[in-house]
Amino acid sequence: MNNKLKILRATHNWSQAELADRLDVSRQAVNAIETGKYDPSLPLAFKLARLFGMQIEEIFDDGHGEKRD
Amino acid sequence: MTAMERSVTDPHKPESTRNALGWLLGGLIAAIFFAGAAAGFLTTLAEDGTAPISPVLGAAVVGLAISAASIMMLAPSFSTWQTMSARRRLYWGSICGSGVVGFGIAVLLVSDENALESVADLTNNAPLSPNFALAAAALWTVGLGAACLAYHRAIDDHEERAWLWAGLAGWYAFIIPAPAWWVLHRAAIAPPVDAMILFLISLLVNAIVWLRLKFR
Repeated sequence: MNNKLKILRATHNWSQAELADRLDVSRQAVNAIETGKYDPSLPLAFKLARLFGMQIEEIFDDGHGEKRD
Repeated sequence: MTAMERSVTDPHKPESTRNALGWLLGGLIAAIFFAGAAAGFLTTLAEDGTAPISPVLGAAVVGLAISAASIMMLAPSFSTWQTMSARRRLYWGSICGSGVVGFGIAVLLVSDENALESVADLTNNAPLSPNFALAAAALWTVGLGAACLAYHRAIDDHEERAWLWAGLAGWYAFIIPAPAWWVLHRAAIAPPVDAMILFLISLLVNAIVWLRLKFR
Protein backbone atom coordinates (compact mmCIF):
# COMPACT_ATOMS: atom_id res chain seq x y z
CA MET A 1 0.00 0.00 0.00
CA ASN A 2 1.35 3.42 -0.95
CA ASN A 3 1.51 6.17 1.65
CA LYS A 4 2.75 9.72 2.19
CA LEU A 5 4.25 9.11 5.59
CA LYS A 6 7.83 9.90 4.58
CA ILE A 7 6.77 13.21 3.01
CA LEU A 8 4.61 14.15 5.99
CA ARG A 9 7.43 13.30 8.37
CA ALA A 10 9.85 15.41 6.34
CA THR A 11 7.51 18.42 6.40
CA HIS A 12 7.53 18.26 10.20
CA ASN A 13 11.31 17.77 10.19
CA TRP A 14 11.01 14.68 12.35
CA SER A 15 13.34 11.71 12.33
CA GLN A 16 11.86 8.21 12.16
CA ALA A 17 12.70 7.80 15.84
CA GLU A 18 10.93 11.04 16.77
CA LEU A 19 7.80 10.02 14.86
CA ALA A 20 7.96 6.57 16.47
CA ASP A 21 8.11 8.24 19.88
CA ARG A 22 5.03 10.34 19.12
CA LEU A 23 3.14 7.26 17.93
CA ASP A 24 4.48 5.10 20.78
CA VAL A 25 5.76 2.45 18.37
CA SER A 26 9.26 1.28 17.46
CA ARG A 27 11.42 3.05 14.87
CA GLN A 28 11.39 -0.18 12.85
CA ALA A 29 7.59 0.05 12.64
CA VAL A 30 7.78 3.57 11.16
CA ASN A 31 10.45 2.47 8.70
CA ALA A 32 8.43 -0.59 7.64
CA ILE A 33 5.31 1.53 7.03
CA GLU A 34 7.26 4.16 5.06
CA THR A 35 8.86 1.56 2.80
CA GLY A 36 5.54 -0.23 2.25
CA LYS A 37 6.70 -3.46 3.88
CA TYR A 38 4.06 -3.28 6.58
CA ASP A 39 0.49 -1.96 6.55
CA PRO A 40 -0.43 -0.52 9.95
CA SER A 41 -3.42 -1.75 11.92
CA LEU A 42 -6.55 0.41 11.85
CA PRO A 43 -5.92 1.88 15.34
CA LEU A 44 -2.38 2.88 14.31
CA ALA A 45 -3.63 4.33 11.01
CA PHE A 46 -6.14 6.46 12.98
CA LYS A 47 -3.36 7.54 15.33
CA LEU A 48 -1.24 8.61 12.36
CA ALA A 49 -4.14 10.49 10.79
CA ARG A 50 -4.85 12.34 14.03
CA LEU A 51 -1.18 13.21 14.50
CA PHE A 52 -1.01 14.85 11.07
CA GLY A 53 -4.57 16.24 11.19
CA MET A 54 -5.63 14.36 8.05
CA GLN A 55 -8.01 11.62 6.93
CA ILE A 56 -6.61 8.09 6.70
CA GLU A 57 -7.22 7.96 2.96
CA GLU A 58 -5.24 11.18 2.53
CA ILE A 59 -2.19 9.36 3.92
CA PHE A 60 -2.72 5.84 2.57
CA ASP A 61 -3.66 4.76 -0.93
CA ASP A 62 -4.47 1.14 -1.78
CA GLY A 63 -4.52 1.92 -5.51
CA HIS A 64 -8.22 1.09 -5.80
CA GLY A 65 -9.69 4.42 -4.84
CA GLU A 66 -12.89 5.41 -6.67
CA LYS A 67 -13.92 8.95 -7.34
CA ARG A 68 -17.34 9.75 -5.88
CA ASP A 69 -19.94 11.57 -7.94
CA MET B 1 21.50 23.09 24.92
CA THR B 2 23.45 19.99 25.89
CA ALA B 3 22.33 16.46 25.09
CA MET B 4 21.62 15.96 28.79
CA GLU B 5 19.41 19.07 28.99
CA ARG B 6 17.53 17.98 25.88
CA SER B 7 16.89 14.54 27.31
CA VAL B 8 15.37 16.09 30.42
CA THR B 9 13.28 18.78 28.77
CA ASP B 10 12.19 17.13 25.52
CA PRO B 11 10.30 13.87 25.75
CA HIS B 12 10.93 13.16 22.06
CA LYS B 13 14.65 12.44 22.18
CA PRO B 14 14.98 8.74 21.46
CA GLU B 15 18.68 9.19 20.68
CA SER B 16 19.47 9.77 24.35
CA THR B 17 17.19 6.87 25.32
CA ARG B 18 19.01 4.56 22.97
CA ASN B 19 22.40 5.72 24.22
CA ALA B 20 21.44 5.14 27.85
CA LEU B 21 20.01 1.70 27.11
CA GLY B 22 23.07 0.84 25.03
CA TRP B 23 25.43 1.74 27.86
CA LEU B 24 23.22 -0.13 30.31
CA LEU B 25 23.39 -3.24 28.12
CA GLY B 26 27.17 -2.79 27.86
CA GLY B 27 27.38 -2.55 31.65
CA LEU B 28 25.33 -5.75 32.02
CA ILE B 29 27.55 -7.63 29.56
CA ALA B 30 30.67 -6.36 31.35
CA ALA B 31 29.18 -7.43 34.70
CA ILE B 32 28.49 -10.96 33.40
CA PHE B 33 31.95 -11.18 31.79
CA PHE B 34 33.88 -10.05 34.86
CA ALA B 35 31.68 -12.13 37.19
CA GLY B 36 32.55 -15.17 35.07
CA ALA B 37 36.24 -14.25 35.15
CA ALA B 38 36.12 -13.84 38.93
CA ALA B 39 34.37 -17.21 39.30
CA GLY B 40 37.02 -18.88 37.14
CA PHE B 41 39.90 -17.28 39.04
CA LEU B 42 38.42 -18.15 42.45
CA THR B 43 37.69 -21.71 41.31
CA THR B 44 41.37 -22.10 40.46
CA LEU B 45 42.34 -20.74 43.90
CA ALA B 46 39.76 -23.02 45.56
CA GLU B 47 41.38 -26.06 43.97
CA ASP B 48 44.61 -25.03 45.75
CA GLY B 49 42.67 -24.30 48.94
CA THR B 50 43.68 -20.62 48.94
CA ALA B 51 40.42 -18.96 47.83
CA PRO B 52 39.42 -16.19 50.27
CA ILE B 53 35.73 -16.54 49.35
CA SER B 54 33.66 -19.06 47.38
CA PRO B 55 33.61 -18.65 43.58
CA VAL B 56 29.84 -18.07 43.62
CA LEU B 57 30.08 -15.33 46.23
CA GLY B 58 33.01 -13.74 44.38
CA ALA B 59 31.13 -13.78 41.06
CA ALA B 60 28.05 -12.29 42.72
CA VAL B 61 30.08 -9.51 44.41
CA VAL B 62 31.95 -8.59 41.20
CA GLY B 63 28.79 -8.75 39.07
CA LEU B 64 26.76 -6.63 41.47
CA ALA B 65 29.61 -4.12 41.92
CA ILE B 66 29.96 -3.54 38.16
CA SER B 67 26.18 -3.38 37.74
CA ALA B 68 25.94 -0.81 40.55
CA ALA B 69 28.79 1.24 39.06
CA SER B 70 27.09 1.21 35.64
CA ILE B 71 23.80 2.36 37.13
CA MET B 72 25.49 5.16 39.11
CA MET B 73 27.37 6.37 36.01
CA LEU B 74 24.19 6.35 33.98
CA ALA B 75 21.96 7.84 36.65
CA PRO B 76 21.64 11.26 34.92
CA SER B 77 20.40 9.54 31.75
CA PHE B 78 17.68 7.72 33.63
CA SER B 79 15.46 10.79 33.31
CA THR B 80 14.63 9.20 29.96
CA TRP B 81 13.00 6.33 31.85
CA GLN B 82 10.47 8.78 33.32
CA THR B 83 9.78 10.28 29.89
CA MET B 84 9.22 6.85 28.31
CA SER B 85 5.65 5.77 27.71
CA ALA B 86 4.18 3.09 29.97
CA ARG B 87 4.31 0.69 27.02
CA ARG B 88 8.05 1.22 26.50
CA ARG B 89 8.78 0.89 30.20
CA LEU B 90 6.93 -2.43 30.25
CA TYR B 91 8.72 -3.47 27.05
CA TRP B 92 12.22 -2.82 28.36
CA GLY B 93 11.30 -4.07 31.84
CA SER B 94 10.17 -7.41 30.41
CA ILE B 95 13.37 -7.74 28.37
CA CYS B 96 15.47 -6.97 31.47
CA GLY B 97 13.33 -9.54 33.36
CA SER B 98 14.20 -12.18 30.74
CA GLY B 99 17.86 -11.25 31.19
CA VAL B 100 17.54 -11.72 34.95
CA VAL B 101 16.06 -15.21 34.36
CA GLY B 102 19.01 -16.11 32.11
CA PHE B 103 21.46 -14.67 34.63
CA GLY B 104 19.74 -16.64 37.41
CA ILE B 105 20.11 -19.90 35.51
CA ALA B 106 23.77 -19.08 34.81
CA VAL B 107 24.37 -18.44 38.53
CA LEU B 108 22.68 -21.78 39.35
CA LEU B 109 24.89 -23.47 36.81
CA VAL B 110 28.05 -22.00 38.33
CA SER B 111 26.97 -22.57 41.93
CA ASP B 112 26.00 -26.24 41.46
CA GLU B 113 29.25 -28.08 40.86
CA ASN B 114 27.34 -31.29 40.17
CA ALA B 115 25.06 -29.70 37.58
CA LEU B 116 27.11 -30.16 34.42
CA GLU B 117 30.62 -30.90 33.33
CA SER B 118 30.47 -28.21 30.65
CA VAL B 119 27.98 -25.61 29.44
CA ALA B 120 27.64 -27.55 26.18
CA ASP B 121 25.98 -30.31 28.19
CA LEU B 122 22.92 -28.08 28.48
CA THR B 123 21.98 -28.98 24.90
CA ASN B 124 22.43 -32.75 25.09
CA ASN B 125 20.94 -35.46 27.28
CA ALA B 126 23.69 -35.50 29.93
CA PRO B 127 22.31 -36.14 33.44
CA LEU B 128 21.60 -33.13 35.63
CA SER B 129 21.52 -32.80 39.39
CA PRO B 130 17.92 -32.68 40.73
CA ASN B 131 18.56 -29.37 42.52
CA PHE B 132 19.76 -27.62 39.37
CA ALA B 133 17.02 -29.18 37.22
CA LEU B 134 14.20 -28.19 39.59
CA ALA B 135 15.48 -24.64 40.09
CA ALA B 136 16.21 -24.07 36.39
CA ALA B 137 12.83 -25.49 35.32
CA ALA B 138 11.02 -23.29 37.88
CA LEU B 139 12.92 -20.17 36.78
CA TRP B 140 12.35 -20.95 33.11
CA THR B 141 8.62 -21.59 33.37
CA VAL B 142 7.58 -19.03 35.98
CA GLY B 143 10.18 -16.31 35.32
CA LEU B 144 10.25 -16.47 31.56
CA GLY B 145 6.49 -17.04 31.42
CA ALA B 146 5.85 -13.85 33.38
CA ALA B 147 8.38 -11.88 31.33
CA CYS B 148 6.80 -13.12 28.07
CA LEU B 149 3.34 -12.16 29.28
CA ALA B 150 4.54 -8.62 30.02
CA TYR B 151 6.54 -8.44 26.78
CA HIS B 152 3.63 -9.41 24.55
CA ARG B 153 1.40 -6.87 26.26
CA ALA B 154 3.98 -4.20 25.48
CA ILE B 155 4.97 -4.82 21.86
CA ASP B 156 3.59 -2.68 19.04
CA ASP B 157 1.53 -3.90 16.04
CA HIS B 158 4.56 -4.33 13.82
CA GLU B 159 6.42 -6.55 16.27
CA GLU B 160 3.25 -8.48 17.09
CA ARG B 161 2.86 -9.31 13.39
CA ALA B 162 6.51 -10.39 13.22
CA TRP B 163 5.94 -12.72 16.19
CA LEU B 164 2.74 -14.18 14.73
CA TRP B 165 4.51 -15.19 11.51
CA ALA B 166 7.66 -16.27 13.34
CA GLY B 167 5.60 -18.39 15.74
CA LEU B 168 3.76 -20.03 12.86
CA ALA B 169 7.01 -20.70 10.99
CA GLY B 170 8.57 -22.16 14.15
CA TRP B 171 5.50 -24.38 14.63
CA TYR B 172 5.73 -25.70 11.06
CA ALA B 173 9.46 -26.26 11.55
CA PHE B 174 8.44 -28.67 14.31
CA ILE B 175 5.32 -30.42 12.99
CA ILE B 176 6.67 -31.11 9.49
CA PRO B 177 9.99 -32.84 10.34
CA ALA B 178 8.89 -34.51 13.62
CA PRO B 179 6.43 -37.10 12.22
CA ALA B 180 8.64 -37.69 9.17
CA TRP B 181 11.64 -38.41 11.41
CA TRP B 182 9.47 -40.63 13.67
CA VAL B 183 8.20 -42.86 10.85
CA LEU B 184 11.69 -43.06 9.32
CA HIS B 185 13.03 -44.22 12.69
CA ARG B 186 10.30 -46.86 12.98
CA ALA B 187 11.45 -48.23 9.63
CA ALA B 188 15.04 -48.27 10.94
CA ILE B 189 16.05 -45.69 8.33
CA ALA B 190 16.84 -42.87 10.78
CA PRO B 191 18.17 -42.66 14.37
CA PRO B 192 15.67 -42.13 17.23
CA VAL B 193 13.88 -38.77 17.28
CA ASP B 194 15.91 -36.20 19.21
CA ALA B 195 13.60 -33.63 20.77
CA MET B 196 16.46 -31.20 21.38
CA ILE B 197 17.36 -31.07 17.67
CA LEU B 198 13.71 -30.41 16.77
CA PHE B 199 13.52 -27.75 19.49
CA LEU B 200 16.65 -26.01 18.16
CA ILE B 201 15.40 -26.14 14.54
CA SER B 202 12.08 -24.64 15.60
CA LEU B 203 13.87 -21.97 17.65
CA LEU B 204 16.21 -21.12 14.76
CA VAL B 205 13.41 -20.79 12.20
CA ASN B 206 11.40 -18.69 14.66
CA ALA B 207 14.37 -16.36 15.24
CA ILE B 208 15.20 -15.99 11.53
CA VAL B 209 11.62 -15.09 10.57
CA TRP B 210 11.24 -12.69 13.49
CA LEU B 211 14.54 -10.92 12.74
CA ARG B 212 13.62 -10.69 9.05
CA LEU B 213 10.19 -9.17 9.68
CA LYS B 214 11.28 -6.91 12.52
CA PHE B 215 14.47 -5.44 11.04
CA ARG B 216 14.22 -5.74 7.24
